Amino acid sequence: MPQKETAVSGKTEHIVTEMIEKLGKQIMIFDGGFGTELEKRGIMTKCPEMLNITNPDDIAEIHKDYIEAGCDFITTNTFGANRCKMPNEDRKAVIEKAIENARRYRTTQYVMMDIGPLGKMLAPVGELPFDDAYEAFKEMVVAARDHVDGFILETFADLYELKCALLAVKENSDKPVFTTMTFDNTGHTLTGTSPRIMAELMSNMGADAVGVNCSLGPKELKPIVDEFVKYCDKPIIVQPNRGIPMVRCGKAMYQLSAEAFAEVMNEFYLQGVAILGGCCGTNPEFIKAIAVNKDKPVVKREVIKETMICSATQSVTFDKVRICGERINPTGKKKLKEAIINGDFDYILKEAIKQEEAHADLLDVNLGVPKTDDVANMKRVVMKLNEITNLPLQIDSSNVKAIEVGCRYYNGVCLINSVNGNESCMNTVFPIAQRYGAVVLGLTMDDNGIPQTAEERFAIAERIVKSAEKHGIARHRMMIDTLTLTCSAQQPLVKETLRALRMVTEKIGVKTSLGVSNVSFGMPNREVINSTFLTMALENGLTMPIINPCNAMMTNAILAFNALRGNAKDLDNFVNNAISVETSTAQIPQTPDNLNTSNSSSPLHDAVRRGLREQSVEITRQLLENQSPMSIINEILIPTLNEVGADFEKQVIFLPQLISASEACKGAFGVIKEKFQQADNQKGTVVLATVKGDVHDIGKNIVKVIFESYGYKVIDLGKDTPKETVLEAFRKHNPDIIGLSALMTTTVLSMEETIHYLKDNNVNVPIFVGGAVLNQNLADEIKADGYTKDALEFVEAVGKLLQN
Amino acid sequence: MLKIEILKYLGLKDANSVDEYTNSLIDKALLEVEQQSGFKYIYEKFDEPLPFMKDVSGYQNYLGDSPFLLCATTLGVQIDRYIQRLQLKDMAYATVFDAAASVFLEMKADEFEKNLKFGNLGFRFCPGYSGTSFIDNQEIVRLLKAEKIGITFLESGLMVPLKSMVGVIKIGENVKKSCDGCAAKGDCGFRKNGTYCYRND
Repeated sequence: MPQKETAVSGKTEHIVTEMIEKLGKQIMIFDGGFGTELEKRGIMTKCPEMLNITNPDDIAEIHKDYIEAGCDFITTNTFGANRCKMPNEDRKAVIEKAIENARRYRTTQYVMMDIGPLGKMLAPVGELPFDDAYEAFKEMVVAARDHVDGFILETFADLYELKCALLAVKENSDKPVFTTMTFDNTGHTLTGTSPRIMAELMSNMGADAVGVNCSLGPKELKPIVDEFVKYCDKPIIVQPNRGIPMVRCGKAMYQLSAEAFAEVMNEFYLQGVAILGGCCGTNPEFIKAIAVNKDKPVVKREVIKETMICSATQSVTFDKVRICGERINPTGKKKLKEAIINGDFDYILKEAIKQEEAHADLLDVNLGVPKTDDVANMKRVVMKLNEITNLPLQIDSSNVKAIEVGCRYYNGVCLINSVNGNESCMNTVFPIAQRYGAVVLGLTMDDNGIPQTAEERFAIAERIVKSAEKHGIARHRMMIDTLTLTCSAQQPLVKETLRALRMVTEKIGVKTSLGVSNVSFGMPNREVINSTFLTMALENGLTMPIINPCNAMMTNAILAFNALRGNAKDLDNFVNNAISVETSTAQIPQTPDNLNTSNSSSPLHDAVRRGLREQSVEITRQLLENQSPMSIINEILIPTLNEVGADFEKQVIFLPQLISASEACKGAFGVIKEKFQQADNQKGTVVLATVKGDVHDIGKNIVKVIFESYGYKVIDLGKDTPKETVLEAFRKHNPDIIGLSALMTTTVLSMEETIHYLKDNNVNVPIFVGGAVLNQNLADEIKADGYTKDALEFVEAVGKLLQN
Repeated sequence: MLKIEILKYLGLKDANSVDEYTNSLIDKALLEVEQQSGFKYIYEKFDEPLPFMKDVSGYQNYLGDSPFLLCATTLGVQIDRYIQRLQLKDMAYATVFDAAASVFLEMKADEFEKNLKFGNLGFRFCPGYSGTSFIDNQEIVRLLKAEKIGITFLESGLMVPLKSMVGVIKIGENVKKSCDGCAAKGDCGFRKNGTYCYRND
């Protein structure tokens, strides 16, 4: 067997070369649906991949039927042969047998290893770690790579999982790889990715053909195919279902005829699609009908290629000025630095949301603080940002490892900040960009530092772009930063930056970026200098200022610039924005109105009761000028919280109001802690976690807010927390209490396991439990030290416990 | 109607006592849930009990001799992402939004089922009710190929997207939504409060 395989492997190389030569030049035909054929033979089972072993002849016959119908590609029967779907079977044997079956009757056809999704959602939305998913795909690739002519990654709905699978193929095999996703009638995948975004990432990462399979019938796929035709610079593959199934007596039935199917497929051929095939419901008759176009030259098409950065759901092109938000970069930001040092990731994520709401178009992510692990931090923050923001990211670090990790775990096409004219820098960064499909920002400096003149900076820019092209990175994937210098120290050089900007824009034709606020270091009236410089830079071609989008003066300068330079829509935008600002400042904040606050003597009491966070913060600031922090806490905040709690229990107020009041109080505590370190951790420390296997964390987060509002320090370990992480947090933070949350009966088992593990490891602080499914009996059964029915009762219980 | 359901989720027994603040959060949440939702529903009809139902009294009591549908429905993963985001921004609103999303899914599923042409429908009987196993969810998802609408499972058996439901619905001319055959009958929290676990309209 091994000898035979080696001999065939040799043949494979020749076949692969031939396939690559044909690809995108001649129409090639894929096979069709497999499930339909299994059903026809009456051998459909729970795990069709096992049929490779139990019914090899049937499987080989199905392939044979497709070969006779005229296909160029045979797809192995291995769609779900992965460790998530087949944990207990001998997957290697299944894959080897599947390939053998696919080869039995092949003559000139290419055998493509079929890889489908794992059937699990990747973390952080699901629980499957990216690295585990990678290993699962890698195992399939390794088992097949020497015996197939290429790979097809198909029916993916999640771009992140597809990226992971593509990396597993590219990093473990040199064979061609095709990728297809499934889109619904909204024109997006289930996780919100458009054909254009998929095409951009897949093409940048080096997939050999890109397109759509399954999803809908050919007619319904038309708008999706149109988008690929317009934006995808790789050969396009289209494998539709046999129309939309009609439901008859509760069963789905496909009805479209082979002729009708082929008719629409012919239109795709005329649009420039290179590979045609079928999916669910199609059979050899359909493949025969579309094979009439086989070997015809692929119709030429115009593809729009422009600089584009994207998340899985949102793309940014530079047809107008785009704002890169600079708030997640610790340079000159004390609070962010502290957050990075303390691992306060929520602070970082909140900065992302704030900037998104202030209309940033993409976000800079730089986590470089001395003596912190910026590689680990980059991984964690990028993965979390994948979940909570749709904005694309700029991965920014002077540490190449942090850049690589940021690119690897990012779900989309990121912008790398940065490369410069130094040879070894370019030789390190460009391969990373190529591997992960990133766009790269080049800084016009090299070993000799930042040149003085615009001409010298332009020369470096040219060198960078040329080097990128040598590494296979097309010009539209490059941006250039001509570097802002400080006017207080190098005033004559400010105009050189602007001149270089114009030269790069006009002569190289790439998009440009500048860190705008650097210009005003050491100057008075920094905002004025910054916004004036910004306008000057925009006039000289700047497309992506890196600024604080929450600074109205800067964003207004951009809006005004667009209004003056752009079209009528930009002018309207400016006017509408001005109107909406006026309206929102005139609006009365929405407040709970059923609170009887008239008897209170303190405005802080009122603000907290009404859940007005900003007002609470402001009033606390004012009070601190004349009042001691402890008296504010003990005489106003705690009594107010107690009052709110009592009203909640009496159902005078409800959960949303309780949470709002707690958030307001937390804001007030934040100000006090900022000014008086000694006020920090007055009450005690609480470690909170939603246990392993559970991703419902809303209850735990309500508990967190209430504890923080009472001035406790909360270490929040998040959701799906392994027991080891809880133990580690106990050892590191020395908490007074540990709180565990679980929603479902099934995850109570995981809660019990965590409690036993902690106790076996000498955790000697009380462990409390809570969550919808728990009660006192169950809590006793799993050996928890305490149970409370809601967050408020929990805080009260802990308060009493700590007093004693 | 939806508001009353959402208030129930939030633990309010008396819908009339709801304050304007909570009320306005619910209004906002309902609008946003609709915008963020990617509602999907799939089903298939079966005439005979499936292997996982055999000898399980919960299913037997519910179904009797009726044919039935297996169904799976979800609001999609964007809602999960959005709830994560809201929790960083505004916990009070996130709590209301989470409840609104759960109720919205029920409402959309009810609406979808109303248009099915299978005569009368029983209430959605979800694995986990009446002593049936929660794990049966996975079998139903497999049979329906509900992976195609994005439903996946964690090791613990929880569904992702979180706002997903899987169930069995008996069908037929003589079928009605009622508590007959429910194992919880006689000791049901909903009935004690004068309500049902299903909508009866």
